[in-house]
Amino acid sequence: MNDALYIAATGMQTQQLAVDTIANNLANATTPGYKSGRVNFQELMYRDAATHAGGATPDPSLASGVSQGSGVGVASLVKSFAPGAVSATTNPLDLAIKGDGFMEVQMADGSTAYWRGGTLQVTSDGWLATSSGQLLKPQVRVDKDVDSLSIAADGRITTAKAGAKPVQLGQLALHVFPNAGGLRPLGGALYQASPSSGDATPMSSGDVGAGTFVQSAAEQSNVVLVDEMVNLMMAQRAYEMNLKAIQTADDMVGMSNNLRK
Amino acid sequence: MNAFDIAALSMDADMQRLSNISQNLANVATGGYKRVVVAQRPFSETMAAADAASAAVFAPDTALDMSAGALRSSTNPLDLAVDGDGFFEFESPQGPALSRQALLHVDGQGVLVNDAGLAVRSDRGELRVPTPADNLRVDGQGEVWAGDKSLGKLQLSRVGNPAALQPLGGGLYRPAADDATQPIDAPRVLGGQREGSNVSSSAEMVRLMETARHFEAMTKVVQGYDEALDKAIRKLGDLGS
Repeated sequence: MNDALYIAATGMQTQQLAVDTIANNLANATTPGYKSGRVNFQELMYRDAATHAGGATPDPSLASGVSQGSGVGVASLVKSFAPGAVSATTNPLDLAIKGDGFMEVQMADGSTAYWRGGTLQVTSDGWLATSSGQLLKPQVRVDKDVDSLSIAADGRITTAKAGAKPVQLGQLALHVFPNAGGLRPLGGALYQASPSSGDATPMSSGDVGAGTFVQSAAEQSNVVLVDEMVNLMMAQRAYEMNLKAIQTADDMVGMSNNLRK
Repeated sequence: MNAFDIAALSMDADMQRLSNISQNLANVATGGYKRVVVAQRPFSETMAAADAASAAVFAPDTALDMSAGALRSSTNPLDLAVDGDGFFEFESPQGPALSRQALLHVDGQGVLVNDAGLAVRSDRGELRVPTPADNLRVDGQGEVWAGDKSLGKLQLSRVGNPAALQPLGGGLYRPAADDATQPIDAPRVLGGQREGSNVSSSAEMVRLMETARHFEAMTKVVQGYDEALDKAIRKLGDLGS
């Protein structure tokens, strides 16, 4: 009956989703390794208004060329993998990746996920793992009594013990995706490959595009606060405008209901 | 046709106009959206159409305002806008589709596509990007580069009558049946820029008020005519007694 109501409602729904996304970005503005999300809008399908109104019989009050849109929808919700600033920390187990690469880790269910770096830990059985407990792939075992552990820019892990020669434990590898923005975020800077991201390509560290490891460093979130605030204001005003359209449509229906007093 | 029918037609038209205003307002933040304007027709044509509910041919009642939206810089070098007139071409399931903006990314198969996953057209068909692509970018002439290797040149074209384009949704348009696309030899492409919606919120709000008030005026016409009829019937009744 009244398209305007539903069209404006789609506007309010999508602006709501935009505010949700901005809120998530703002909440994670200081989360190391967080990548900001962004909602892209698109207008929805158009249809011929004349043949729509009552079904089969064309409405004579409308010309055949009138195409009526049906509102706005979400085209995509994508992560921006723009690099965050890399800052130094004092923890030798903080590992950041400078570049586009991802490390492979093993999830509890045996599947493979991809990690942008963060804080490593040595598990009780001596394996190197992420701070949330996923083992690195390939697995690296660290002896209990080592004095220091160093990770070179190319991913080579070396441990040193007083009075002994340094031991090389293994080398971390980096992987890149055709479309990193299409990865499925699992939380905790972990991502899963998806049809949209494509398959991971193993790289040797230092290859163009893959990047290098930086030990004792953390990648800051790539949220730009000013942009988020501007987008928040925009979304709020757009929400308000659609509300006015709904009120007007409602007023008009009210008026026609009151034609007969 | 009596005053009731005329007012009803007019109220229908107001409802239709309100839907268009809602559509514009809903898309005030949709990148690359082009606002829909309702063209008023002379009243005599509307009358003729209503009388002879025949398949009379009209000029389109809605048209697109194809003026450019404001450009905003973005962090993605593959967000592209066109400087001047012209459209990017995409492969859609219904054939080629045109768009004023191209928010491109590389899909899982290494093809350069837009948000909806439609491949952008170039002089070499769809564009394939090697993984990893070093410094993927598009220059001012629409040539796509990975490092110092050219991958192809985006195809841009213009249409004779942009206002008659048929919107397909998602910022895509199809040229009218009697309009052919013309390739542009020297396009000007802006990388790292997104075109905003060209909806002016204040102008739409004014149209919204105008439409609501016009609708209200038409309800008064109906009520006034109803009162006149009421009075006439009563007076005639008085005469009879």
